[in-house]
Amino acid sequence: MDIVGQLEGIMVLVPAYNEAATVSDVVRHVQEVSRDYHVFVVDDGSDDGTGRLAKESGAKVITLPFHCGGRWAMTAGYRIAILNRYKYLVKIDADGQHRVSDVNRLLAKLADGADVAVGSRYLDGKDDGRAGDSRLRHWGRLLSSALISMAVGMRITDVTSGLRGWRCEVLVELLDNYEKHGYVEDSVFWLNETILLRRLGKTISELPVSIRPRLHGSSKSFTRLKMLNYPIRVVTTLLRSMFRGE
Amino acid sequence: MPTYVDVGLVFSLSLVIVSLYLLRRHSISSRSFLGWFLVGAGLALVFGVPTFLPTMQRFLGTQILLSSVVFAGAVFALSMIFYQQWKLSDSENKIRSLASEVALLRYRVDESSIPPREERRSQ
Repeated sequence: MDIVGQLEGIMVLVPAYNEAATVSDVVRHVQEVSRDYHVFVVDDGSDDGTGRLAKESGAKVITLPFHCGGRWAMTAGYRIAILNRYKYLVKIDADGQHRVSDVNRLLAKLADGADVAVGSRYLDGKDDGRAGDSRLRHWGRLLSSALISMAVGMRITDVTSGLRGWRCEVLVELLDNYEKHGYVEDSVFWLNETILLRRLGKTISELPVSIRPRLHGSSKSFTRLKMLNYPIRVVTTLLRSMFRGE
Repeated sequence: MPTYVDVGLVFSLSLVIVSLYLLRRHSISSRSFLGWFLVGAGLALVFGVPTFLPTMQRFLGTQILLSSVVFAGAVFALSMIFYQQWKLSDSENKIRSLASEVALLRYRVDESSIPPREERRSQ
């Protein structure tokens, strides 16, 4: 995949699955922060009108025909960013847990030269970063961050964070890799991508952010069943990366 | 009165013949043909060679013949489940990849069907 010509503009990606209660506010808040942000919502087969509400709030909406999972929503967003030749892509969650003002801080990191910027709830150590999450989920996050840090040889404090920014040139390489080697499970998507980014020699920069507790619904990424599977998936992701030399 | 051996032989030979017929009509992939052909041929061996099962029993070291058959059946069934699971995951990924492509194409078609702002004003 080649990017020809000048890259410009900022795309804000909001993958959403059944987030009708919050998606409109998230889209509106992003647009209030800056009119230069082009907001795209990838509706991952919601059946509660998430896509319609996002469109009415002024976002461009890409609708997956059925619930495909986070990795597919993300990579659809990557493709849109590349197709539209944006310079930067920032992703925030549709559940309203991320502070939209942090988008500017992520972009500042990217403008400073980072290939990927990640908002970390554990970096400043002010609070425990749990934001109403269960202890199990909290410790699972810390443990996976520690394991990935060891695997990639750099300190990563919040490997599962969904508040991220990319230079769009990086997305081209990531997509090429995903197409070549296949996709991993949703719950370990960020872990795998972190390993992949380091293998590609990209710089990852974390910045401290605070996360609000979820007001509506529950996390789709970490249900109880997925939590049971999570340690196995972390281990298989690490093994896979070792076998592939990532 | 046909015995179970006759029924088994007819069944296994039918499998072989039907899979060959479907292959000839291009109604079955060569991989599926090979699988069903081997199943049919294996069953023909079981029913057609009377010493096959006792030999298998001796080889597996079971005291009862039925245990050998159950064991072989379980191994075969588990192998099939594993293979089907693998194929299912593969197909699931392909379907999701296609769904993602469809969503992007639909988005691009929708975008291109809306005239640019200036054009709409002049209309």
